Amino acid sequence: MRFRLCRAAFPAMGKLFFFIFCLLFIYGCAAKQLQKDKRQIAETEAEKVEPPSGGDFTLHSGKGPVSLRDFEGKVVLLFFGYASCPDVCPTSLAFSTKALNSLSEDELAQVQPLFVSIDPQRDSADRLTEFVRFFHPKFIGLTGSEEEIKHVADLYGVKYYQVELEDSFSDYAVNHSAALYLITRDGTLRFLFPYGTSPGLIAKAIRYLLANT
Amino acid sequence: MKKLPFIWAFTASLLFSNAGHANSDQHHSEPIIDNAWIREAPPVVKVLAGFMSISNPADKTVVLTSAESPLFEKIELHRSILENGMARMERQKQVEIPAGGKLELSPGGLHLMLVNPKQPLKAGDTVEIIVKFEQRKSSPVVFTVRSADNVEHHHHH
Repeated sequence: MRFRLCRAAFPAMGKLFFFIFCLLFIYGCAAKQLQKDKRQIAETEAEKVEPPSGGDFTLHSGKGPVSLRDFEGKVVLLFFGYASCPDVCPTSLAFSTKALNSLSEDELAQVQPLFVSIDPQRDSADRLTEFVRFFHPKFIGLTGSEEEIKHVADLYGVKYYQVELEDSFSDYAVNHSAALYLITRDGTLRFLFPYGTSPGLIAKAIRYLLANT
Repeated sequence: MKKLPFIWAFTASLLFSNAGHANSDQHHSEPIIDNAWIREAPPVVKVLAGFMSISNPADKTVVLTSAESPLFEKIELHRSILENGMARMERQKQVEIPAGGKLELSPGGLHLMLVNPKQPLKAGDTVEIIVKFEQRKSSPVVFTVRSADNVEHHHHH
């Protein structure tokens, strides 16, 4: 009753209060969002690390030792994974394959895709070759001793570790960095793409390196 | 003054706009599965991944619990998770699909992990898998094997 009276007496005041309320509410929301954005930016900064150095390495394919410098003059597409990886690695391989397939024959001849196993215990060179060639015949699968793999992974800032799959069929899975690396014709690490980068963007970057290095 | 009730009604409709949807008369609707497919893999791979879209037209949450097929030794529900650039997998005991919602099992996310296929599967082959929901009829679903480079396929119907 009092509210009604008040509204009848000061109709304009009621409206004014309502609008002030709305404004405060909107301001509150905006301020909260801004704070959240700031916090997110701060978190991202905190996680920033030095880019990996990259560099030459030697591992083993089914046909003998393979070094990065063997592909001098070519743009190298490099990534890490394992053959018993049911989802993420096939997805990465499929994306890369799509990028490779969008290149002309001439461009493709100047590109070398490499897949390094971070599961040398289970991935023999032959098994790995069969795995990666299924996606694209140009792929070379590389494996090595635990130390050799660790060395290459460190060069490229790749982390990996085995985890028991609790209550699951498989002995273990390997959690691993899922980035994709592009290396210039002279062996310099130039681009690092996060997992899920579109085949179109990968192809674009390959073409850029082909034209500019 | 006369505008005020309108403003309140508008605000209320914004606040409660989600409430009206679930009340449609669809008590007994079963989940609808489409775009079911298996990613082709080389014979050396003993674990395949199966994907599908599940719509839940009912007014209650449905729970996807498991799947089975005589063609595989075992089928498990897994989720690929990407965190700080690291990829990992997590087994899921069950996955909920909210009332009126849709769940996508797609590459890089939720998937059926199909263990030890009894025969090699080639692109174009079809496989029947029983998909099980809690307190719902299990439905046999035909999965089509698609080539691995079919990466942008999961929005076709």
